[in-house]
Amino acid sequence: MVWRRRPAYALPALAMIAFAGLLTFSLVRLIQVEQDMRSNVSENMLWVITQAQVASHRLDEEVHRLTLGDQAARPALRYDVLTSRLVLLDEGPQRRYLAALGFAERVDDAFERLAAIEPQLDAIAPDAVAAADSIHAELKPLMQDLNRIANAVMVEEWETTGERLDRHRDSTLQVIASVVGLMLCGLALGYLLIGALRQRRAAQQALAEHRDQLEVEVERRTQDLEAARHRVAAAIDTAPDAFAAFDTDGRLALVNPKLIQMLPEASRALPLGCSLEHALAVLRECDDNGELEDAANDPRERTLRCDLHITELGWLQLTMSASRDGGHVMRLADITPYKQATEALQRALQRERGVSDFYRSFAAMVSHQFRTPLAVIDSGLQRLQRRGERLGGEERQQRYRRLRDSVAHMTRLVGSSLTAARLDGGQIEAASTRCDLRQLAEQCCRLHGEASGTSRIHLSPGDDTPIMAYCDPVLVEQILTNLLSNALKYSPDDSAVEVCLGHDEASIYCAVRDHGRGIDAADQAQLFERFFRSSNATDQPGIGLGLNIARHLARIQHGDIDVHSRPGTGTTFRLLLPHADTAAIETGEAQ
Amino acid sequence: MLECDDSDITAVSFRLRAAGLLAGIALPVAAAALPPPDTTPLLRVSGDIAHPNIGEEAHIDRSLFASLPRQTLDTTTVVTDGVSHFEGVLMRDLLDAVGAQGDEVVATALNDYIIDIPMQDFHDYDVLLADTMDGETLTPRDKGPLWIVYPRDDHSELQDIRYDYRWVWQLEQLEIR
Repeated sequence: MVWRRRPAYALPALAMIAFAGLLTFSLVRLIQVEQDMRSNVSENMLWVITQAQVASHRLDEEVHRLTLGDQAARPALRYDVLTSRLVLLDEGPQRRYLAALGFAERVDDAFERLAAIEPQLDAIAPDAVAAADSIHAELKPLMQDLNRIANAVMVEEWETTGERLDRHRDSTLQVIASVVGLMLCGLALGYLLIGALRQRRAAQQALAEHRDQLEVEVERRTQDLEAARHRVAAAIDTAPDAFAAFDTDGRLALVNPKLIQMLPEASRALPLGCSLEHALAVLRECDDNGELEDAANDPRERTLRCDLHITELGWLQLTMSASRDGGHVMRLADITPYKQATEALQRALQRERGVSDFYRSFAAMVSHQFRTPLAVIDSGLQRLQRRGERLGGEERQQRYRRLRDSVAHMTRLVGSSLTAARLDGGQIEAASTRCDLRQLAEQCCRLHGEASGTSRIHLSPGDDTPIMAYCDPVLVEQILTNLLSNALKYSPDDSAVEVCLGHDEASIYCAVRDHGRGIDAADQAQLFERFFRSSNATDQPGIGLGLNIARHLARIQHGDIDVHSRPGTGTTFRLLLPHADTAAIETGEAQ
Repeated sequence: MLECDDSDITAVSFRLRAAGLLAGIALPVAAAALPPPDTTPLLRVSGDIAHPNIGEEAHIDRSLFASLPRQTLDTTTVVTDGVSHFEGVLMRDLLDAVGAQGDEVVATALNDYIIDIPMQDFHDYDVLLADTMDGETLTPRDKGPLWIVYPRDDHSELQDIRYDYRWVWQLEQLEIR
């Protein structure tokens, strides 16, 4: 391409240089001719010499006229005129011209002859023929010289003119040649110009065609893009999930109908153009799961994926990712069915795990707690076997009673262990309902008093108004039985156990108070731990499960058990239960 | 070019007015008719003239010629070398003095050379009627007694053969037409 482009410029440049050169040459030649034609020194020379000749003949004529008697003849004037003519011939340019032709001496001769004639002029008079002849003798060679000079000047002028014509013809021919050259250059330039114009036209046509093609192509691509956009829009519109697109400035640019359908309230708070942060804040407002709260402070930095729980709608999964151009796309998918299935699976797994825990716990308790009573029973039976006949009836009966006590203890132990294991495995669930705690406490105190054959239990009198708690009556009965039996067990036989009911702002309670030995402050903290036995309770049979189970049972009813004790004075255990009204409202039981 | 032409025209018209003014001043002096020639005249002026002194002709002798304003002119000529110094009177002044009123002047020389010169030349250019050249009085044996000299070096258009033939020497007579 490079080597082709150079001639494309070189040729016109060459033509233009040639054009300018030829033009300059022609002009120079023409100017030379013009100047040459102006120099006309020689042209006047023929006239000058001829006039000198005429003047010489007039002098001769006047001399002879006067001799013949013509008084009007004035030879002196003619002499002056001839003199002036010769003076003219003798002056600068004329003298040089004649000298060049070799006639300088003859001009000098002419002056000498004139000088010779002048004194003879006075002698001219009518009939003075001799004087006239004398003057004629001087004039004749002068006239012959002038004639010769005139001939030479004529020849010279013709020669000069001929040479000049030759020069002019040469110059004219050169100018003609130059003009032909100029014409050729002009033609070449014209040809190049036409070629360039053609090329330009062709290039313009090609460009126009290319542009047309491009336009068609652009139109086609635009249609394709439009179709693709329609497909995408249709896909987004009919998608089962909600979509929202944000532009590079984080402004909401697009929302599909599903979003409006899914979140009518929230979508009203999300006009097009609102910021991504605002959109997230609106969603955070709807959500009660809290997962979105923990999401990144600057959501534009990274992608986001979290679950939202919307009341009256269910679970939504929010997915947000950055698009390639710097915008963001948000997707909200309804995952309520998956979430419910997950929760069901979670519960099933929990139950299975509870069963497993129950067996493990029960096995551990059995292996740990059952050895001692079994050993006691075994040793008692061995003693009876060895010394049975030798023992008195009373003593044998006593030993049988002890063995039966041990068996009874074991039975209780099995019962307690089962309860504890069930609690561990999450097998026990509270069937809470609205209950009158007073009625429950009265029944419990009565039954326990009857069973243990004692009248130490005193229920503090009330006004018969029901104290409504939200609890499972079976579990409450079990707890109160445990607390009552503990109070009886760890206080003197003649002391009373007082049961009283009350309530405060937070809860309803039933307090069981004994006047026993009390519990050391150090032990109080560990009192509800499994298998813990207080240091001053070792004289009583027990396995350290009762209080632990009681507190567990209280807690699964959203209640609790607390203890106030002073060693030597007594101990008070309180069963705390939720108010029937507040608890019912919280769980929706009231409906 | 236009400005040049304008200025030329202005110069010409100014010169014309100056000539008229000069004539107006000169007229009362010359209007009393030219004095008759005392000696052989240098020049005879005939034709349409207002102030003849001999018959219908005005004969200018040396004293009358000397009474006209003297002017000098330095110029080259086609028949001599170098710049020559001429003295004499302006053709314009002389023609005004004789009250010439024509468009053409026919100049006749002692050597029978007869040339028609437009009157306009003498208004356009300071054409000198010289009686001396380089300080020497012109004689009939040279270019005398009078030589019409154009200011050739001051005006390039005068360097032309069509003006060269108007340089009449040995001037003897002028006829105003």
